[in-house]
Amino acid sequence: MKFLGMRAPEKRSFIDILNQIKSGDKVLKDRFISDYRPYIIRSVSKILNNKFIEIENSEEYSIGLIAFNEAIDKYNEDKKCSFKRFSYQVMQRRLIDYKRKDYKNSNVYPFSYFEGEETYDFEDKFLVEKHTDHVYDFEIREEFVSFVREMKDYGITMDDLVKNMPKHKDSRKNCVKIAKRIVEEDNLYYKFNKKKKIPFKDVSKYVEVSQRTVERNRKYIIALVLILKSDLEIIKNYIKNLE
Amino acid sequence: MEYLGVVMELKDNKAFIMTNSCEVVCIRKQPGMYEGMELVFDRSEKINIANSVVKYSAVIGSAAAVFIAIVFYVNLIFSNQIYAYVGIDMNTNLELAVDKNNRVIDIRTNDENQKVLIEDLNYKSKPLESVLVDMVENFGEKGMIDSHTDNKVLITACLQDKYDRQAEKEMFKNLENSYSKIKDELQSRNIQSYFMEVKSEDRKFAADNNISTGRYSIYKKSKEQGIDIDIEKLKHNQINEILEKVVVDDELVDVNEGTSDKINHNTPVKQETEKSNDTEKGSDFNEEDIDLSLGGINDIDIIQSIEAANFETQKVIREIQQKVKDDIKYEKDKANEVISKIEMDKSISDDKRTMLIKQIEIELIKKIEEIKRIGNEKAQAELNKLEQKTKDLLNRIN
Repeated sequence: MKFLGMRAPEKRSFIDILNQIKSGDKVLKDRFISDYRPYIIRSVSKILNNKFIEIENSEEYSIGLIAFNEAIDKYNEDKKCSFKRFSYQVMQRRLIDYKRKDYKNSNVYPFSYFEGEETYDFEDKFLVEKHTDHVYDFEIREEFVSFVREMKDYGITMDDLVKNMPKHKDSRKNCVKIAKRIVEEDNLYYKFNKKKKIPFKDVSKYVEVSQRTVERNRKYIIALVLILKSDLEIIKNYIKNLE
Repeated sequence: MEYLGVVMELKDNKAFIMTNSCEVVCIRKQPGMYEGMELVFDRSEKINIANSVVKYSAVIGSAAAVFIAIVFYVNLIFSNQIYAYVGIDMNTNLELAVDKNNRVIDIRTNDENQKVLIEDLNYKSKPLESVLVDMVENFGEKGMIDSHTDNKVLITACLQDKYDRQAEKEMFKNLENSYSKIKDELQSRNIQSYFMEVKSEDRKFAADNNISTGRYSIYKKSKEQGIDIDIEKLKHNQINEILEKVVVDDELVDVNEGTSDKINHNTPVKQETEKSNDTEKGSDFNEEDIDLSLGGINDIDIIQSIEAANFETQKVIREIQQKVKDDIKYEKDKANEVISKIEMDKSISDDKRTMLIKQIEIELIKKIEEIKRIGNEKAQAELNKLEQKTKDLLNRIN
């Protein structure tokens, strides 16, 4: 139960992303860190009294990145602390540790000293994992992008879809039924694809449904048809499970 | 309640998700999200995409309300802005703050006792002339004014500097109108009115010197006319007496347009004007008539320096006294020590001891007297010095 002022520090979806990273999704971790890169740069700069951070050869930035990486692993949502604040603290402490060490033996050679001519990209070496799922990920993304593009051909945006979502599960089921019918019957799909709208008259022959229902949920049904015709397996599974 | 869903599109700050119950919802984009990602989210994360008109109507409405409030408030401020200070000098020194339409906003006075006079006066937002008449009647009731004798009142107007020339002229006209009304009203109550316009820097200067604006203007005017008035006396004298001596117009004259050529030689002041001509010729009737003149403001400096000298002398004398005391104490201690030594010495016979002690005592008394004498002489010398200095300074005043 939630009371006023007792909000969870992070959104559920955010925690789910973190959990996925913790369970070993390296690609997601890379993406997550790269999304947070501006924040890391800003935090490191702030901790070092607004020092300008040159990403290519700043040791402090590397330490910030390692600390951020550590923060992702160590973050515990039960502690009621926002991830940003937590990661900032970790970065701050690691940087202070580094500064102390650095002060003790100030004759530290930069990594590049040992690397010779090669530029030393910390991120390339330690953070970017070669992942076999890369291609698969890319395909899925492309699939979604093309789906959204196709929706646009029918004059539908995701905003419209959210606004015209049938509230009730039963009505959604009904829509799924109609969409399935359109996909299954070739002549229906042909008309649908050609005219870019739902062939109601033909549909009513197969499914018992009022015109009003179809009209009201037109956009949703179109989206469902497009999904069923695409390779979006996860969503197709959802649709299958709904029935 | 938690949902499972797939991210379908990421746009701006939003993520569109198809849930496992085939509902498309929109939530806030989180770092690391990508299309095709399956994730768990909470029902509370959903963003409502409302109709834009409905969504912004609250914003538009509140903006309009703020705008209206500002317009209203600005109007209120401007209508309530002080544009002139009207000073009233009779037995009292009051200052009325007046707005653009000649309505009284506030009455101020430096004198705590005079606050009683305006306590029961209802003046807020009333026209200047009616407030003045009310005030005069109120004073009559309270015995501040004797209606059987001639009374004089000096009314000063001080326009605020911040207005431009055109606006100022208009306001001045306004003031002039009400002044003519005031004059008639006061005349019927046996009160002679005098008017002056004062520059705002003069008003400020007067306030700094703790004198009413009216009295300070008289002081300034008297200087122009070659009459010497002591500013300290001016503070305490009756305005009736002062106004008899200095020529003041009974019409309002805009100072900014030059006072000299606009002096109105109208009815009741005519005699005064003639008198003033005498004054300008150099007659000293002022000094003979009433002892108003003690000299210029320099006198105060001299008096102050006399006071300082006096203080200094007192200090020196106190020091001398202290020194005398210390010396006496020292001598006494010394003598006591010697005496106790003699008393302790058993080799001396009793007779001799008494004799020695007596001798020491006599010596001590002599020494003390000597110390006192020297101290007195020193103090006297200081006093003489002070007297001489004071005499010199007083001579300078005379």
